[in-house]
Amino acid sequence: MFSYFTKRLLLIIPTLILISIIAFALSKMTPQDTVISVLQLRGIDQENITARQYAECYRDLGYDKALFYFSIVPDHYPKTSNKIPDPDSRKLYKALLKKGVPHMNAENYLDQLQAVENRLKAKADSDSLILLNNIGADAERFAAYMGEKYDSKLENSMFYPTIRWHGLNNQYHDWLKQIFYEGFGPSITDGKRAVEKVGKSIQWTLSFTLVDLFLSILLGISTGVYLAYKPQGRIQTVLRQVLYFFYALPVFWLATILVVYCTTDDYGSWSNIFPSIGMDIYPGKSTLEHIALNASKLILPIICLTLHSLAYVSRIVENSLNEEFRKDYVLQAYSMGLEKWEILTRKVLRNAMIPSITLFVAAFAAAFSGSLVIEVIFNIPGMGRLLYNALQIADWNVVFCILILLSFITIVAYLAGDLLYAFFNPKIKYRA
Amino acid sequence: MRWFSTKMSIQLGRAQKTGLIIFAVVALLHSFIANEDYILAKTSSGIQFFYEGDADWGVKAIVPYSASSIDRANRLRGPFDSQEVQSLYYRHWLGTDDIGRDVLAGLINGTYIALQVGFYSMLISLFISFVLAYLGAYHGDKGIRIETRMIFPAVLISALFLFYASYTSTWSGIILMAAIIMMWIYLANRKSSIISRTKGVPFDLAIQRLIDIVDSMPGLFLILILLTLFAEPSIANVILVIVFLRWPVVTRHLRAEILKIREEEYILSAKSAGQKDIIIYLKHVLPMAFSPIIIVASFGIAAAILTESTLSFLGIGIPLDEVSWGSLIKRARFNFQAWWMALFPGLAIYLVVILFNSVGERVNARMRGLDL
Repeated sequence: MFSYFTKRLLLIIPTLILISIIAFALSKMTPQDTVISVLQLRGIDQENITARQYAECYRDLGYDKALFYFSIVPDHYPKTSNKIPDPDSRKLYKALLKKGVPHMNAENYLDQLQAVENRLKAKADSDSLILLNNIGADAERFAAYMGEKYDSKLENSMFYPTIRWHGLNNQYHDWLKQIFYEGFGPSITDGKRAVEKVGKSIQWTLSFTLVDLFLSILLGISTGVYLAYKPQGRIQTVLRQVLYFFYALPVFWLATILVVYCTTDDYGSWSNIFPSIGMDIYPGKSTLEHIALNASKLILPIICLTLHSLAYVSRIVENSLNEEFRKDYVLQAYSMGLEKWEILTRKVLRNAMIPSITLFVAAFAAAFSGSLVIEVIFNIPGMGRLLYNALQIADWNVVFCILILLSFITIVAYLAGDLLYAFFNPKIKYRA
Repeated sequence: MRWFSTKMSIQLGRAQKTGLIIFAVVALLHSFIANEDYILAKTSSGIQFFYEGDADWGVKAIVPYSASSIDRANRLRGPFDSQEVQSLYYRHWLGTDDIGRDVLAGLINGTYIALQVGFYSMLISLFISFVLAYLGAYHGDKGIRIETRMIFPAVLISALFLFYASYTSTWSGIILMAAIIMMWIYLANRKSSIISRTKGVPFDLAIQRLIDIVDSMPGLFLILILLTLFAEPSIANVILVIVFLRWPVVTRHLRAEILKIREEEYILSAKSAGQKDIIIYLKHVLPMAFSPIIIVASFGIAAAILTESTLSFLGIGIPLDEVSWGSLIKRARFNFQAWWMALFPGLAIYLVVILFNSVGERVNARMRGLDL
């Protein structure tokens, strides 16, 4: 078993590397231009950015480097095709390369284009200004206009794959370094480290998800045990119906209804039980103090979450207990003269709960990611809302910080779950 | 495990049957049930379907509003409020939202979106898991074998294919790609003249690892990231993203089932009779897994509908002009006094989720009952 878990522990490393590569690839596919947002963070308006500033910032951020440690490209490609800072020219350059134009020719061609552009700028009459605009908007159409300058015979008719090594001087490596040394880099909204922002949100999230987890496990297990121990009766039927109702109810709907009815005077003051949504801000206090001062406002979200998860947990506990009660050893215990309560506490409960360990561990891991809808509805500045807002304004450093952190927590929690499972269940034998 | 026919294994209750039929009929005939235009109209130029404008006579829908038609005179009117309408027929029976759209028509359009999202996402993930379970679970790590000396050429050829597939835009590249595919087929089909050692391709292990990786990323977060990354909002994107999160669940269930089934003796007898693997899989293995598939599918449909409504509640994924159940509730958040905008779509989601969950549970109970 020891070797099994060593193997599992070691497997975490390649999994994380793969996830980081996926995250990096995703971050490279983002439609927004990070250079512009970084320049804006430095206090330059989007309209006033000069080509030189852009190019400098582009090189500062290391975007002129290759993407990965190595690349496999056709032989007419340059070492990296990211050298050109100007986005339109870069797009055109890449399009030309893809067409099969050797990189020397493509660069020459871009130079010629630049010369034409400069000439047009110098001319500065209306026709040439329109043409200039077209260059920016649609470089390829301009390339077609430049037809006679572009010799299609220059295209490679045949190409072969070549492997190019870039060493440690690449964007992925820089990104990894940024993760370790700079805490995932700055957020584009305020320039703070992404890790700091996530750290703050995680406190908010845990403040209500851990309470929810605790309550739902405690109440859920007791309700489930009660329903399995005394299955018949009117109370039980009603309880089951109510639990099933909350189980199938969408959380966001329940939350919306509660907010609509219970936090305003619109439906009479008698229904205005809970404080209105939105957290109060006290300047100069830490996150934990904020949570403590806003505790009364966290009650309603906790109720919403707990009603749902309680129903879920009690269903699972009840079902697995019922399953267990049907087994032969229970019959044997009855025949030995044991009471149902004794069978439950001494034998059945333990056997039935063991499979639920993994479930609870998964719930614990999920507690870190919080509940997006609850946070959005109740305006809690937790993980879900941080991610939601970061996505709206394309704050990718924060987004990938959250993604990688939560993946890591999930992986470790699942491993811990398997360990606990083996610890509590002597029948389990893991083979390496 | 006892042989049970597919007919026996999904006997649904009357309530479930009616529920499913109502859901399907409302969703598929949504434009006949709620439409502001004439469904059938006789005009000066003959009989026309879905005719907009005045007609001599015509057939109108039961609900005379489309999901997007705006009634400026009646904004935020509840079901019991007074409404400025021509007749009882034009009354907004479930009220209107803050820009004057009929809630009932919105609900009916939402049914269609829910059906699309639920069924397409489930169909695609089922297809993916059928293929993966064939490669992984049915064959296991040692079922699909490759000659040891062919491993290197096979990897090389696959890599070359990927390379030319991603960089080719000229004719020569396409011809080369075709040549590579031919070589691939030749390599796969050639009978070796000498006895050589073979090695199993660990598809099962690879698929398990892949599932682990997808599982270790937080689900809803991944959906959000993918949806904002990749495209304009559209229902197709929502479906694909839900599939991306759903296939691991389906594949895991199917795998567990197929691992049981492939040990059965009739599979062995089919194999010894010389039947092809793919035929055995399609004719003998998958039909035996019918009940588990129905269970996974119905729970999956419920989950997909829930995910879609959550997403449109957050305003992500579904185009803004499409009216779905989630987007109706989203508007209710900003109009506290309009209880009807929150209540009815919520009820619709609740009922459909319960419907599909109970179908799954019933089949599950039945399967276990017959199984014992």
